[in-house]
Amino acid sequence: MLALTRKCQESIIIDGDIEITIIDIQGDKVKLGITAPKNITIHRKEIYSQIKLANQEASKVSVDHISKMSDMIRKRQREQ
Amino acid sequence: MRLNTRSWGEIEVSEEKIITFEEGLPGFETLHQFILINSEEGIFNYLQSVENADIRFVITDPYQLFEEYAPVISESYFEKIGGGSNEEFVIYSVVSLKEPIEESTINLAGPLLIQTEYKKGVQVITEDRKYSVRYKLINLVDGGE
Repeated sequence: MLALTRKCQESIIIDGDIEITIIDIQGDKVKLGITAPKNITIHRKEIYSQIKLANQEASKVSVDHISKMSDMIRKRQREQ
Repeated sequence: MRLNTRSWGEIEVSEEKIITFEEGLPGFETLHQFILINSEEGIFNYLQSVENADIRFVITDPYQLFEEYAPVISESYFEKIGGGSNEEFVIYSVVSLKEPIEESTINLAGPLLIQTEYKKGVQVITEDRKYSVRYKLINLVDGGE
């Protein structure tokens, strides 16, 4: 891993067109500003990790009960 | 083309219907081609991997269950799969069926965004923290969030 030391308001550039700026530092919190091309997606890693886990779990489930589940949903929708 | 699947054995699918996920899905980054299979019941569909017979997801149109669903999707996701007008995009949510079925959950924080014209898809990582990765399906049916 590349480690760089930056001060507040300083930036790094990745691959020519992604710029990450340190906007603010308060205690153990760092606020980052990111400018990137429109097709670059940016997200917090913990949300990505949660979705990854949920996907892994969802890919393993049996589909045996799917009609039971559909029936239950339809029944409840009718009751409303 | 013939496609081998764990859940349904060998099935016939049209190559034109293959949806490309260039980055795969979180946890399945090496799988890029999927096919949408409609289930007989209508509420649920399946997203079957073309490259791995074992991998398939149960998915659903979240708006059938939750009309007010409004995830914030960054423009970058639309751009990533080719852009286009609103009508060319559809959203699905991944469902995790559990036993007992009342425990089944739906991922509202990571919707699948599909560009129907270009047959390209991406799983969105929503940033607004409004929706859960594991929301109980039953609670959704019984009156939303």
